[in-house]
Amino acid sequence: MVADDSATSRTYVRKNLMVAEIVVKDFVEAANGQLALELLREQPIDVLFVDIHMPVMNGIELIRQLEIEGIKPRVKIVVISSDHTLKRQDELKDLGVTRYVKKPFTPEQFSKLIDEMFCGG
Amino acid sequence: MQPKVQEVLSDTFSSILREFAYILTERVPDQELGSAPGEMVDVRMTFRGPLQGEFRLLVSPDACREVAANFLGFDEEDDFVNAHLEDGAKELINIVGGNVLGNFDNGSEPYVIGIPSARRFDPGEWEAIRGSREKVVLRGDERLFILFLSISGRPEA
Repeated sequence: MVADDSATSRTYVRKNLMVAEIVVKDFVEAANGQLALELLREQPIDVLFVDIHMPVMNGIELIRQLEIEGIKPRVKIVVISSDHTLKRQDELKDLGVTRYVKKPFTPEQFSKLIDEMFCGG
Repeated sequence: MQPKVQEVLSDTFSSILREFAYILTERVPDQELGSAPGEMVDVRMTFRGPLQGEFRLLVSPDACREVAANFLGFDEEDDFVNAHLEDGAKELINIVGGNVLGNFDNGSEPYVIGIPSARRFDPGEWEAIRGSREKVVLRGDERLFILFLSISGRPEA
């Protein structure tokens, strides 16, 4: 699943999954954290690519809610954001996100990330 | 805008456009700005934190189309690209703004970056744009990219 208010950004993630030759059974999109939460409650999701700054419910609020509802342990969470201040990175570490990717990222960087997550790097 | 801030804004934007949209840009002196360049998308994004302010980008629909198509590896005639021109411009300012703010990071607290908004540019504002000292103008592939960064200091608690 990719949760990002930008359709362009969601499409970029989808394209990079294809470039990385990842077989995706279902690619689910959500335009904000609230919509993502509702989908995550309803269906099993293996990986969540999530932006931080979104309307309605942002990425940080979503991750906290996933923790509260016990969903977080079964989802690998990759934060993709242009917000990469040191405090933000500390906050994400404290939230236990699996990976953090800085926008913009290249297909090579994305493929390396996928490789590390699923193939042990 | 302070020259150092102009440089950071210009370098960040140019670097992202070059690496991810394959568009080489150059700075355009203010005096070379002529009459209003026709239809433009006007995108803005606020931020607050150690500093507060607003990023703004004025760009033509054709430039939006080229950036989005190159970024995604799509054809410029692709339906998705043409249906999401403003979305592409908003994502561009989000990426540029986040990276510019990363340059001003002092480790004290994270920035709260607003959701970008887009509207059609009002040509009646053009003379004010031309005279503004808060802008950086870049040209790539014969298209203008006009960037603004207004910083108003630390917000009140």
